[in-house]
Formats: sequence, C-alpha cells, structure tokens
Amino acid sequence: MSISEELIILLKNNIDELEDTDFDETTELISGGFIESFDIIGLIGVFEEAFGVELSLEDLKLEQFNTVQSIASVISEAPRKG
Amino acid sequence: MRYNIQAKRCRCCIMPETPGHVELDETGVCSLCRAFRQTEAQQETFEQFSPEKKLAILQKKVDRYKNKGEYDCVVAVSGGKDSIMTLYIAVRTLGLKPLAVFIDNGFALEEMYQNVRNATDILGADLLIYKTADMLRLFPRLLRSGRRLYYCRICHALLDRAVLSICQKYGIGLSLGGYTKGQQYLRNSELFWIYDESDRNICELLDGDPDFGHLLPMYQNQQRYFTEHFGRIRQISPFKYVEWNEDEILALITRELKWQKPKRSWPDKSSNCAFNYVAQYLAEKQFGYAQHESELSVQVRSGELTRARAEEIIESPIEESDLVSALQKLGLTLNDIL
Ligand SMILES: [Zn+2]
Repeated sequence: MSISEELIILLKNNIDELEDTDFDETTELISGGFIESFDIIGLIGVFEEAFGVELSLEDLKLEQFNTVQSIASVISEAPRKG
Repeated sequence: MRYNIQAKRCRCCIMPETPGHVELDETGVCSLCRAFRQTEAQQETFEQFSPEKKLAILQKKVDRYKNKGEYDCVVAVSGGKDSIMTLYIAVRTLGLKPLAVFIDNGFALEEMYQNVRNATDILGADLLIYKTADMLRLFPRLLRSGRRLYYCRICHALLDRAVLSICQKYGIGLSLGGYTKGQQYLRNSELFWIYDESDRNICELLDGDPDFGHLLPMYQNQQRYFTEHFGRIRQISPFKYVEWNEDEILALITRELKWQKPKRSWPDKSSNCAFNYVAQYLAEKQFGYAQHESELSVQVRSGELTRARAEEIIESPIEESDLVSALQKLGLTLNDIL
C-alpha cells in the first residue's frame, strides 16, 4: 500500500468528517473544512506510530496538512524514529 | 462626532482597502474575494454535507464525552445570542449535561447577566460566574503605551485560558464555543498579520512585567501554549454543524429562553462587551480592519448576509460617549488613545 492509500485509511478512521466521505490525494482537507488545527495535533501522533517517523509540531506548518499529497511528502521526508 | 474610520471598501464584500493586505483591483473587487471565487469553483467541502449528516457527525463527536463525570462539557457563555444558542443546542439538541461558565471580562453589559440567569434557569444547567479583573489591570498600561495592539485578541486568549482552566479543574474534556461561521480564524488568513504584530508588541510590553510577565509564553506562541497546557481538551463549535440563521436564533432564544438584546452594543444588534468600542476604534485606526470586517465579509461571500446589511453593521456609529465610558472604567480619558 502506498503512503497516500494508508493515509486515506488513517484519516477515515480518525476524523469523523471523513469517515463516510469520498476524498482523494488532492482534496483540500483544511480549507475544505474537513479538519481543524485540533485534529492535526491528534493526527501527528497517529501518523508517527503508523509510519515510524518523528514529526515535530514546531517545524511543521498547518498548511502542510491540507492534502493527502502534502502529508505524504511530509512523512516521506521525516526522520525515522529511534 | 463619530469615531468610525472612513474607508474605501471592496465592491463585493466590505473589506477596506489596506495596502499590502487587502488590495482592490481596477473593478473594485478585493484580493480575498478573487481568491474565494477560485476555491469556490474547485471542489467538495464540508459545507456541502447535508444538515442531517453534519448533525450526526457532531452528535458522534460529543457522545464520546457523555457520562464521563459530573458534567459532559463546558459551555462558555457571554450572554450574547450565539453563546446562549450554543447552550440551548448542548442541552436540547445534543442531550448534554453542560456546566455553563459565564465569562465577564469586566466590561459585560448588564443585560448579559440576566440573559445567562434566564437561560440556565430554563435549561436547568449549572452556572459558574467567572469575572476577571485582568483586563481592568492590564489594559491601562497597554493603552498608554500607544503600541499597535488588537485588544480583542489579547482578551480572547485570556478568556480561553480561563475557560480551559475551568475544564481542567472540573475534569471536563469538552468545551463548546459559540463561534459562528465567519469566525473560523484558522482560515481567515487576512487576520494573521494583525495577530502576529499584536502578539509581538504585547510580548515586548509584558517582558519582565511583575504582574503579567507569566503570560509571555502564551502570547509568544498561542498555538503551542494552548496545545501544551490544554491539548487534551476538545473544543468544538456546534455552529459548524448545525444550520441556523440569525433571525431564527433570535426568535427561538427570545421565545424560549427570555433572551433580551442589549440596549446598546457595537456593532448594531450585537451583544459585545462595552470595551469593544475602543477595541474596534483602535483596530480600524491602527490596522485598517479586524475580526468584525473579516467575519462579515465571509458571510457576504457565502451569501448568508447581503453586502448592504454588512456595510450597515460595520458602519454602526462609534460615539465619543461610548469610548469615554469604556475608558473611564480604566481610569483613562480620550486623550490617552487619540
Ligand atoms: Zn472583497
């Protein structure tokens, strides 16, 4: 499974707004009103665990979570845990 | 004499022309409206979900907090229509047992106390009154500095901190807010530069202050501060999920909760605190615009409000007597801010 496919599943499982929604790699999640800053804080932990990476809220901009595509590139560039 | 600032406004919304931030094109349309047209044409949004689906999502979210303790959630109420309606939705629509927290920043209007008492009596909700003297102590020194500060931003941060601290004390994991659609600040990026400059300036003013220096970390980075201190408390605005228009809200809370609109508040038909006159006057003068312009413009763009009505609202007069009486409470005069 690609990072993007896995992200879509994780988002559906963790965000009520996306659970029964068809969305793809380019759907605008923040500007489309599906997720909020609070959600992102929770998602960071979920992504770290699922992909074994370290994401620091300090270095990330909220806009980087606007699409699955951009989250995927954040994850592929993040340092591996441990 | 009126203290409203005259501005050239966008022809589609009511944003005033503000060099470097809100530019009008040759047809008189602002940069925000142009950007809006582009995204609007684009794709699906949460807004397009059916009312039933939105409500089901909200219900699912809040049900996770039911029966976890003495209260399911905190609803911070100012006594204004949106927060009173939020309390109504919490009890009657969502079936929650809320702790209502009445927040008085020192400038709450008399009618607000009565509104909160009536609503909590009728809805059978416990009420905690939190009146802070922070603004009365802090604002005089900030105003005397003459620095560019956005006072609503400064106050909101202190009040959010108070509400979330109350959640923590009572072990409540959910806080419901009365933010309406135009107030989704994360998305109104035209306000960011105002927030940033105001935060930078207040940090300089508070640095080393014996009474308020402890607030420095909050104003240095609000997002980080609130995540670190209150990251486990979920904040939800029911208005994102529940469709209501202003007239329906007013009719319902007047009929069922004996709500009364204040005799006088800025802007027209609002129930903002008595300091809002000063905050708005200074925001217009120092920044060109602030939250009111931005929120109203969002509503105009989405078709919820006519441009003419929005313009009428934003041009509600700011009279000298309004400024003087708010400043008097702080021991200041008009000369201190002009
Ligand atoms: Zn405009």
